[in-house]
Amino acid sequence: MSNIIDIFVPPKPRDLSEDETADCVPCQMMAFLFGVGGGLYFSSGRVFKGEKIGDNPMWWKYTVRTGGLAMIAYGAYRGGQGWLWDKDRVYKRLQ
Amino acid sequence: MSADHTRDPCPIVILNDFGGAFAMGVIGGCVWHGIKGFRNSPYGERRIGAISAIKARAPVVGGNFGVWGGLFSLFDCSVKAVRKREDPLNAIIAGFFTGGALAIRGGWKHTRNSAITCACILGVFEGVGMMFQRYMAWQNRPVAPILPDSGSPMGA
Repeated sequence: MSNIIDIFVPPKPRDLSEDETADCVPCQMMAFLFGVGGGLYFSSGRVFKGEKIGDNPMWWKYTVRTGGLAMIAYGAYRGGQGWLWDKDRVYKRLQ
Repeated sequence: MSADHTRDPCPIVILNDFGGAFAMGVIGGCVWHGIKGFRNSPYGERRIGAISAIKARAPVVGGNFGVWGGLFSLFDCSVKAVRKREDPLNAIIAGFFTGGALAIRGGWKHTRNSAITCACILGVFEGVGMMFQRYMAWQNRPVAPILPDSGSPMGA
């Protein structure tokens, strides 16, 4: 089963347990990669490379760039959790 | 409620969904662009035309599907982690973010419209899925057996 199959066969609504939503090392790595990778892409300006002049307003470009910087900050925060700060963090083991 | 052990846990399922969606896109792209390349090629070169079209376009379709599936799964896991609940609203919110994220290059209006459209489409899918599930449950509902009428006289 996957999240995509769940679109067509929706699971019964339920509250997730603490164990299911607990943080894990792969979750943290994924968040770090997504945050830093996506953030670098958005903040670098490559998003709007090759566009015609005037296609996108400046405020939108600045918003996307700022969002990219926020994503980098989030990625750095998640990447350092558990060993640089927030050292008493408890992780679940994936089975 | 016990944990669901029939599926991969969340960060793994993102890779799983990315690969599954990529494979689905490649297979669909092979069929689609194979037929298209075959039909658009002159007689005598139809087979090579179909193969060329598949080689050129099927990986692109697979990549597009894969990016959509991976992003959707990533947002779905994120929404689940934040809401701490599993229900159809997760997929709708994830679809909203996915549609928006994929359309950022098109500008503000394109992003907004794409996000809303994607959320609506996923809402329809979820609604149809739930309706179908309820219909199946109604069809398979337990029915009381018909008991023989013991009060009627059996003759004399």
